[in-house]
Parts: sequence; structure tokens; C-alpha cells
Amino acid sequence: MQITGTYILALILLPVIGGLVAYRFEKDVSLKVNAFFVLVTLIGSFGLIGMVHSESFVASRHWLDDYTLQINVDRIAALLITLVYFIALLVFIFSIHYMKGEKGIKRYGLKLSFFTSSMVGLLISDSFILLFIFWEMVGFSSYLLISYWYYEKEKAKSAKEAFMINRVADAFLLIGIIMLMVQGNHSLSALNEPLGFWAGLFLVFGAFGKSAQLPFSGWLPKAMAGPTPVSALIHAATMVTAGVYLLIRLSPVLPESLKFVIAIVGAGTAFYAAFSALAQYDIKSVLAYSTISQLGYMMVGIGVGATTSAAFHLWTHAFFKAGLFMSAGSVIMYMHHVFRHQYDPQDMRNMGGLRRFLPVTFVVHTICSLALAGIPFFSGFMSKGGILSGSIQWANNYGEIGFLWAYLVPFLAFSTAFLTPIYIARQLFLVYANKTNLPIWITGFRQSYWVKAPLAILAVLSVWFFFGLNPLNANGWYLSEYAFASFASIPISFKITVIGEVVATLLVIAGVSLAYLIYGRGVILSVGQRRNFFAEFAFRGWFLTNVYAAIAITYQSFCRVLAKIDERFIDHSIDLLGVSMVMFSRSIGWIDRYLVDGIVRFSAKFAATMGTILGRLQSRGIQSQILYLLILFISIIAWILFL
Amino acid sequence: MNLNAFLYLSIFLFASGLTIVLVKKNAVLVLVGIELMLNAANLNLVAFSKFDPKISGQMFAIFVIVLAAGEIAIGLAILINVYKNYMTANVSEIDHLKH
Repeated sequence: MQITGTYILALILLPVIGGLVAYRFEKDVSLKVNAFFVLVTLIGSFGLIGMVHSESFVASRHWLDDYTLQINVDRIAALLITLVYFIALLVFIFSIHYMKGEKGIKRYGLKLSFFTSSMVGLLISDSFILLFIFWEMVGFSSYLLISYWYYEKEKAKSAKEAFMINRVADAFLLIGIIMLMVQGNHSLSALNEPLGFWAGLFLVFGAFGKSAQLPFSGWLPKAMAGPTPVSALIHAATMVTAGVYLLIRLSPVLPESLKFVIAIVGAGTAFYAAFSALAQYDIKSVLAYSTISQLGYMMVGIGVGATTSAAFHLWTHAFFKAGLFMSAGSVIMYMHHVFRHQYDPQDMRNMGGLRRFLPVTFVVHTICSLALAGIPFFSGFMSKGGILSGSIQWANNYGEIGFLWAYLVPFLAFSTAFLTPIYIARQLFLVYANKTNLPIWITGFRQSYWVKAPLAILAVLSVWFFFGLNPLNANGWYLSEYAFASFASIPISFKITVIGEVVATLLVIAGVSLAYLIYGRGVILSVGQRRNFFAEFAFRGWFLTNVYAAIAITYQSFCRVLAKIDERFIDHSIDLLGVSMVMFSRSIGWIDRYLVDGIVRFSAKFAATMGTILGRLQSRGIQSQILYLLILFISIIAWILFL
Repeated sequence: MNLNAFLYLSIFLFASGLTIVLVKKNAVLVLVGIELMLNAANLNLVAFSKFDPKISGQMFAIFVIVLAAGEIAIGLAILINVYKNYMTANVSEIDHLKH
């Protein structure tokens, strides 16, 4: 028990220690040192899977009165820790070459290590406080990484925007957590009855924020300002899945109404992002929107009750999306090498015909794209198939009780399945096949093995064989029985599974064909080209950031009005009160000084004067006293005689 | 004889004595003034007694003379001692009891 605890602590801390140790090394090797530490941790996390194989590891520490911090490492957590460390290792290896010559490589390594550790902390935390702490740490380290080029104003601004949107969503999560804790629930594993609607809704909104679901989607494209390996790790494989992970954990206690919300929002987001991805020109933006879209699929999976499929999609998506991002990264590296800051190295309109120069990248990009699009025999097909057929089954169940709106979810999900191959094929055509007017011909560029190796590994891991024996069986994930046996999944009839998979395949084929018709025949896009309204609408991500800005501005002017009211009326009345108080005090002071003090002083002076006068009477010697005595005597006699 | 003539003389003597007591600084003269006032009173007593058959007025006057003799003896004795102590007979300066 104790040993396992120390072991887990070491697993969490090792990457950060590695990041600190790397500071002691030369610039060229510091990332290698980092990667070595992550490798050790990865091997260690395989050991962790063995440790929690028979029973999950739960440890708690008393923190404050009534608060206990608890971690819970079960099979799911151990598997995801391994996934995180695996992708992190590949990202570190990829970064060695990608970040070569950049300023502040050590800073980069430490930030990335910090992020990895925070993410693992998030995966194992069980009490809500701990969960929230790591949730924030993940968001913060993500901010640090996005703003890696902090001295470029535009990028720093993007990082700020992404962080702020996250903050808003985190506030929702915090409210949800507080509501649960007020009810006496302190940890995820202690939840055993359905959540209250409002508390659950706030938690779900928090999860939407991290997983970039509507209405918080706007931050993920902004997050592309960071280095590409960072995007591969954070904004594809790990951080954005935190929300999905939280909802998977919560799924046994989510009430039906909330699941409905999740399904609708997930489907809407999937469609929204896929539609936006169609018009992007930035090679990374396409992938960012694609990520949002796939996360929407995972949400649909959770919403319709196909939780295992959602987790499966999380798992496969991590590999092929990391592969896609790294391919994009190596393309950017090449373009950067060619353009030398003359043109935008990320703009797909400046690319074309790159398969001759980057053959390995081309193959990897294609394989990962096939997995993303959901072509049979690739991983994405299996995981997406489960979600799609689950959504049909779910809508059927609702349809039977006359709730036809539920069919919106499978409709949007299948529309997305149609759009996905279009945008990713468009990217492939624009980058690798078509020609461009710009001078991108160059000889003697050789890709390093540090770049090729992670790409190759991720490409291989996009093939069905590593996930399930039968490439056409959407529920045949090796790990589904192992890790997700306790999750009640929606029973999907065989017929619907077949229908779902066939329709999805047909849609993919149709999408690829359409993309070929539009983009596959040597279209050359130039930067200055005008866009029609729909393209503009999609390019701007449905003006979501403008909506944020509008909300922010409205709120700001609302605050200004409040400030004015405050200044004009409230402050004024307080001023008035103050002034009247001062005047009142002054008059009281005047009365005090001249009336009360005057009386006192007058009596004192009177007494003193009288004392002097009377004292003078006494001190003049005996004869005058006799005189006074005489006068008194005579007066008395006169009084007696004449009155 | 008229009683008023005696009374006028007595008033004059008394006023003279009182004036001496109030005005003179020397203690001896103050004692003289006191003696004058006492004698004015004596004159009154004797004068009233002349028009009164009873003898008691004259008796009273003799008492007063005796008392005046005793008083002047004690007064002078005190005055001599005071003069020995303070080297002055000025009544304004003898004010040590005041403090």
C-alpha cells in the first residue's frame, strides 16, 4: 500500500524533476534529458498497470477539518496515465528537432514536463478539491505553453484569450463542485446516486470548457499559437480530453436529462467544428477544429450512453490526432526552412506538392487522416462506429416514446462523418498534391530520425490491429472489458451497428470523392482570394470569438453603467451624508467651544476674579479688617434700625 | 444739665479713639485709641447713671476701668514681647499669623 503510494508520487513528480535536471545540461541535450525522464516514467507506468490490475489503489490524506484529499488509481486511470506518458514521450522526442535553435528550450521542457505531471495528477485525483487543483494546473500550464513565444504580441494575446475562456468554464466547474460538497459529496468515487440537475449541469459546463465544446469552443483554435508539438500533446491528446474524462467518470451518476444536454451539445459542436474546418487555411487550425469536432463525438458517446465507445474514441483519437499534429509540425518545419519568414509557413495556400519532399510525413499524415475520417481497417472507424450506431439506437429509444427531436443527434453526427473526410482530404490535397505558385523547391532537406520515429510510431498505432481484432467490430476494443466493465453501456442491436457502420463508410467515401472533385484536381488557392459569405462564416468559426467579444463588451458597458450609477447616485449620497455630518459636527463643535466651554470658562474666571477681590480684602493688615468689621457692624445696625 | 452734651462728648471721644485705632500704625497708639473708646463708653455709662437713681451704671463704669487697666497691662506686655521678637511695633507688619 505504502509502496504503491510512493511509486505513484514518483511517477507524477519524475517529469518535473527531469525538467529541473535538464536545466543543468547544455541547450542541445536538455530536451533529451527530459525525454529520458519521461521514458523512465512511461516504463514505470506500465508497472502501475500491473499494480492496479487486481484492485484499484485508493489513498487518502487528511487535509483540513472535514476535508480529505483522496486519490484513486483504477485501471482506467492507469491506462490513461500510460497514454499520456506515451504521447508525451513522443512529443518530447519530436520537440528535440522541432525546437532546435529556439530561445528558451529549457523553459519549454520544464513547462511541458509540468503540464504532463499536472495532467497525470488530474487523472488520479478522486476528491473534488484535488481534481479542481489539478484542473487549474493543467489549464495554467497550457497557458504557459501557448504563450511560449510570449514576446510576439498576437500569440500572447491568443494565449490570454484561451486562458480566459477556460477560466469562465472553470468557474462553472467550481460552482458545481461546491454544490456537490455542500451536499456532503467529497470525491468522485463516493458519488452513487444521480446528481442533482443543477450541480450536474455546472460540472458538465466545466467539462465543456476544458473539452472545447460549445459555447466554449473558441479557445482551442486560439491555442494553436503555441509550438506544434505542444498542440499535439495538449490540444489533441491530453488536456482537452480532461472534460471527457471527467464526464466518463461521472457517467454512472448523470441523470438522463443531462445526458440529453451532453448529446445535443456534443453533436452540435461536432457539426459546428467540422463545418468550420472546411474553410480554414492554417494547417493547424484545420486540425484544431477537427479536434473540437472529435471531442464532440466523444460527448455524443457519453450522452447517448455509449460510454465505452467514447473512451475508445478518446484512446484512438489521441494517437491519430497526435500523428496529424506532428505531421503538420514537420510540414511547418519544412516550410519554415524554405520560406525563412518570407511567407506564412502555416498557410496551406502557400503549400503544394510536398509529398516529393516529405515522403514519410506524407504517408503518416495520410494514414492518420484515414483514421480520422473513419475508413475501415483504421482505428477511427471502430471507435466512431460505436458512437454513431449508439446515437441511432438512443434516438430510436427516444423516438419510440414520441420524442423525435432526439433524431437531431444522429443526424448531426452523421453529417459530421460526411464533413470530416472532406476537410481532411482537402488538407491532404492542398498540402501534398496540388501545386503552388510560391518557390518551395529545395534540395538537400533531410528529415531527422528524431522527427520520423515518433511519426512512424503514431502512424502504425492508427491501424485497427492495435485496438481490436476485428476491424469492423465497433465494440471489439481489447480494453473495453478490462477497464470499462463496470460502465453500463447502451445495448445496441446488431442490425443498427451494421447500418451505422455501412452508412458511415458510404458517407466517408462520398466525402472523399467530393473533396477530390473540388480540391483534388490541381486547384491553386492564392492568399488574396475573396471568400463568399459561407466560407467567411466557417473561416471565422461561426464568429464565435466575435460573440465572445460582444458578450465581453456588453458586459463591460453594463459594468460602466453600473459604475456611473454608483458614482452619480450612491457615491453622491454618501458624499452628501459625509458633508452633512461634517457640518453638523462643526456646529456641535461651535456650541461646545463657545457655549459649554464659555460657561465653564466664565465660572472659572468669575471665581478667580471674586477670589482676587475678596483676597485683597483680607490681606491688608489688621486695621483695614477692623474697618470692614465696623462697616459691617454699622450696616447691621442700620438694617435693624431702618428696615 | 443736658444729657446730650455728655453724649456728644462721648461720641467725639469714641470717634477719635476709633480713628486712632484705624489710622495709627504704632501699636502703643492703637492701645491708646482703645483706651479712648473705653473711656467714651465709661462717660456714657456715668452720664446715664446721673439721670438714673440706681447706682448700677457707675458700678459698671468702675468695672470697665478695672478691665481696661488689666487689658492695657496684658496688651503692653504682649507688645513688649512682640517688639522683642520682631523689632517693630507696627501693626501692619506683624502679620505672621496670616500664613
